[in-house]
Amino acid sequence: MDFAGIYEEFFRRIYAYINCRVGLQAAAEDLSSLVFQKALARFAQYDPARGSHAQWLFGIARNEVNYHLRKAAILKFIPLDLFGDIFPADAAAGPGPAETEARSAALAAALAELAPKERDLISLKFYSEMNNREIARLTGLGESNVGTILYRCMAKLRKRLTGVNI
Amino acid sequence: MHGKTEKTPYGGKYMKPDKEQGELENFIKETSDNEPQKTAANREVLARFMKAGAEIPPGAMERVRASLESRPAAAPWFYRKAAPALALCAVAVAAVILTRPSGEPVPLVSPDWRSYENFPYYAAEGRLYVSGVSPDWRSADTLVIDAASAYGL
Repeated sequence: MDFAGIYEEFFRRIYAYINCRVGLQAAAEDLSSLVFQKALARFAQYDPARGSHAQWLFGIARNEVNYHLRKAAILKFIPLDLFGDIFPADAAAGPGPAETEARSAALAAALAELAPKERDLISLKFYSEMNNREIARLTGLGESNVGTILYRCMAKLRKRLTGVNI
Repeated sequence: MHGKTEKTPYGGKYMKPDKEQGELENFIKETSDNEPQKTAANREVLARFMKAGAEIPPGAMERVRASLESRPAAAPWFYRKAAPALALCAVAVAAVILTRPSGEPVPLVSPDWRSYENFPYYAAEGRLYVSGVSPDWRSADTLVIDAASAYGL
């Protein structure tokens, strides 16, 4: 697969992951651009034996996001309303703008309640769609640890978003 | 590597590959403890994430692609490889220039630490060298045997 194909396939997922972690659309776009620039520069060095394209790209994205968060020192000071930009209202078919906005705000609030590591893992799980072993290899955590964190994380999100208790 | 792409049920443009769809399906089941209510709630959570992930600002993808296409070309490998060596050479040249002796005249006669002036013990013998008298310790002129001092008499 050439780089253009990789870009087409992964851009939305990488953008969504970064947006979920950072919470600012402008920063997400800049970081996505940075991720793909680095990926393009290192494309010749990509070794399929070391991991899939998803692992490779999300590894770069994760490093960039972590670096960005450290640099900006916003990790501990993210106000809830910053997440309002992540999920803009969808005027297309489906629920009305007010309802969509309410759903987005609920998800934003639920995300804001998660610990940074949980937010990282759950967004990796949903957007990279790697299995726990691949996520463990990427994050340096144990596979069972990843599974446990994700399980608890889903319980929190379930309770927060749908009211279904653990 | 990946399956075909379709439209997602959550409004996204690109269907996730078959293997990965299976991964998320497994994840939903694993975290629901086989309870239908939790499974439905997990699907709702997943749907919210998918919807949020499918919504990116209009033109973002094109803007990033344009930035990738307009990025400056990478430096030729020779310069990338040679840059450290060139930097090292520049440092060495600067060090030589900065540490070279200044224009002050260097004294032609350096102190001779072996000279007798610096060794008082040999001062007497040294003076003999420069006084024109041959220091022939075997001669009767210079070697005075004092029996009283020599033998303590």
